[in-house]
Amino acid sequence: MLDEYVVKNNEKTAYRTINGEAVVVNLKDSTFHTLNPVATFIWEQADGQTKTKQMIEKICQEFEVDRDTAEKDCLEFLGELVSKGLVVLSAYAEDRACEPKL
Amino acid sequence: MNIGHQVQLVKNDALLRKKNIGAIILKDQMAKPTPNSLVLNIGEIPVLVFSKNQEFMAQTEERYTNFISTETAPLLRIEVNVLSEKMVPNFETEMERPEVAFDHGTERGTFAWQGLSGEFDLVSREAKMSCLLHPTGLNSFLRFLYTLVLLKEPGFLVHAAGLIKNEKGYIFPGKSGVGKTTIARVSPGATLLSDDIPLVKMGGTPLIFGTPFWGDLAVGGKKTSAPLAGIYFPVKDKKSYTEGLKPRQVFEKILPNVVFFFKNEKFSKQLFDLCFDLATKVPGYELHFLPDFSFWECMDA
Repeated sequence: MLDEYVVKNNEKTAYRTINGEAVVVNLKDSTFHTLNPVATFIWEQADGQTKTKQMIEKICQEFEVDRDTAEKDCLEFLGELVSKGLVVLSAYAEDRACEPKL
Repeated sequence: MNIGHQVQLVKNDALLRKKNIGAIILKDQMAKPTPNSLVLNIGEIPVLVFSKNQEFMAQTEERYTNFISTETAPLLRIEVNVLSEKMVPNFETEMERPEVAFDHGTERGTFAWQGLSGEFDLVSREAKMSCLLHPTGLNSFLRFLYTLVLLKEPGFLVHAAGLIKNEKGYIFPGKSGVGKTTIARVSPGATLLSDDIPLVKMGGTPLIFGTPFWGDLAVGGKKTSAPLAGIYFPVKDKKSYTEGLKPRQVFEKILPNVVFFFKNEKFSKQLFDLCFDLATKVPGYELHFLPDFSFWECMDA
């Protein structure tokens, strides 16, 4: 079910990637987070269009990981990003975005 | 006989000179009354400070002696009103962080912290502050104002020791206790920019400037600058050596050391970008050091 959702970076964040690793700042409270290469890959896919299902497929193509592990880790990471207010999870692509009913 | 005469002459001459010196000093003191205003130039950003309080101006002249300038077009004019302790109701209440506000539309803001309050207008370039007769009042207000005006340069203040050696600038960032003052103290061949808060200006080549914002060393930096050649994060250790850092690590480590008082999205984004720029332009290292000058031998200085 969750893999049908789309994820979008919160507008109140900024990020910069150096050598495949991103540093993300929450502009509301000035806290920042460092992401490893896989987390950076997920972050960069959070464009408000890509469904988490597609995201997981791309992770499997890009990194040597089986689908179950990729799904578990990806959803866990997205949950963390949501709880920190760094991304918004939506049931629809960006042009129809609204809050999901979880 | 002749020799004695000569000695006598020398004695007289010495007396005469001593009198003259005395007269010159007296004349000099008379020619230099405490000014009603002073221009301070920190990081090539001149600000004019003026007050009716002569004691405050004398204190300011002494405290900022390395930064007094003849600049005629200050960026800001700061009027200082000196208060007595009775006039500051919250003086005894220690505020952990300054209370600050800034309006992007009008470019006006306010600042309050431990017996000090101030307001400023970046459009009219006027600022007013009220404080007790103590040098820390103006110092706090200047730190606060410079964090804002520097963003337009662009640049920022950073918690670090700043030194120049062989015409190259170095910063040693870190919070209190990491060894900033120690590094400044055990570097006799280097020019001190600050043992606590030097000023960084970005642009083509990142530059590091001296400031009067000092730490435990209680000595102001020099009004000079140099290209920033290295960022060394100090770690107290039993031997001196350096470890290279990736730009991403420099970026992460420099961010918490930027001096800034506002929780403001626009400013945070600007500082974030400036720090990224710095981390990708200037090499960074972890500097493990003993409290002596031997660490300079490990550095590319």
